[in-house]
Amino acid sequence: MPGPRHARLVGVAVRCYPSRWRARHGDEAKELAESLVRDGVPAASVVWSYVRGAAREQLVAAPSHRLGRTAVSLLVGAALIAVPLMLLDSSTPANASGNEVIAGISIRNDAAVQLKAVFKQHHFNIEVEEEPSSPEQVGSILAIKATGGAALREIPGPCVGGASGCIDAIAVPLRYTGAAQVYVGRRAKPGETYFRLPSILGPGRTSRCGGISC
Amino acid sequence: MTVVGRGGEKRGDVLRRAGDASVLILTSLADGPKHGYALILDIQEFAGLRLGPGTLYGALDRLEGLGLIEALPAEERRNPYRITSAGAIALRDHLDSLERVSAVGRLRLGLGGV
Repeated sequence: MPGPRHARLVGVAVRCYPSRWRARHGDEAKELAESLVRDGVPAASVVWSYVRGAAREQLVAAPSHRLGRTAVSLLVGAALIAVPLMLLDSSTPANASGNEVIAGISIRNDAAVQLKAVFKQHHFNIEVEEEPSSPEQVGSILAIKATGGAALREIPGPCVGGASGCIDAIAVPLRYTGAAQVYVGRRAKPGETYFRLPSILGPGRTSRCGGISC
Repeated sequence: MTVVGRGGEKRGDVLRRAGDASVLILTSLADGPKHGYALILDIQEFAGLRLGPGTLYGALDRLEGLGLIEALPAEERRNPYRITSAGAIALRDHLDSLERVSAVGRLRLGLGGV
């Protein structure tokens, strides 16, 4: 559940927006933040999204002679938010579910970073490596290689583009003592070979990135 | 494609410059009105990515300013939006354009044409 600290930080971030924006979206923005945090979205990323949005709005809305004042108000807002944000314990995309830690991917371009943060936070001996993948598997878990300890549970989710068959979270027992490597898909570089998702046309196969959308 | 803005001025290639978030929002609204939270959930389901709330509101304001979506009466604290006819035309034109690029890209990659 979203805590009072989350709500306070969202409130500060919303106050960084111009008044006309607050009058229009302020209440809904706070409610939306509550819903997202309740769904497991890291509170820090919600607050940060509002801070960036506020900066954009202020720069668009402010006439040039007010830029200085706008910058100062944004800096004050950022300072009020930054320290508590770093202290937020839910700033990583993980939530404890019974006896497991769920390490999920919410931002595909930062999938490896997100998973590493969760594993480090819980002192798991789990390494994360990025491998070139097909476009639909970018930011998804490609494979898990575990040795010793209890089994790690893969949690399926949608691929890029909405197809099913991808893994976008992993459940790790709270007292996990084994070692594991998790491979996460990244965008393939031009000429690089990558593995494609199995499809109805046949088993998984390798492809070569030609330099466009892979 | 040409879309006429609220001020009556003509704008070309609106969605090409409006950003990916705008295209995702219009696509989501194409099957009915939605408020912010429903938009985020729907986009996550069909595109596999979660829009940040700050990005969402920025794009909604931009699209509304362009006359591509319009706000409906608020439901409690939530403001639903629906796509306008200009928005539907802009989305269709943009998707057509993407399809042409996709077809060329697939051909050049040796993946077969459409």
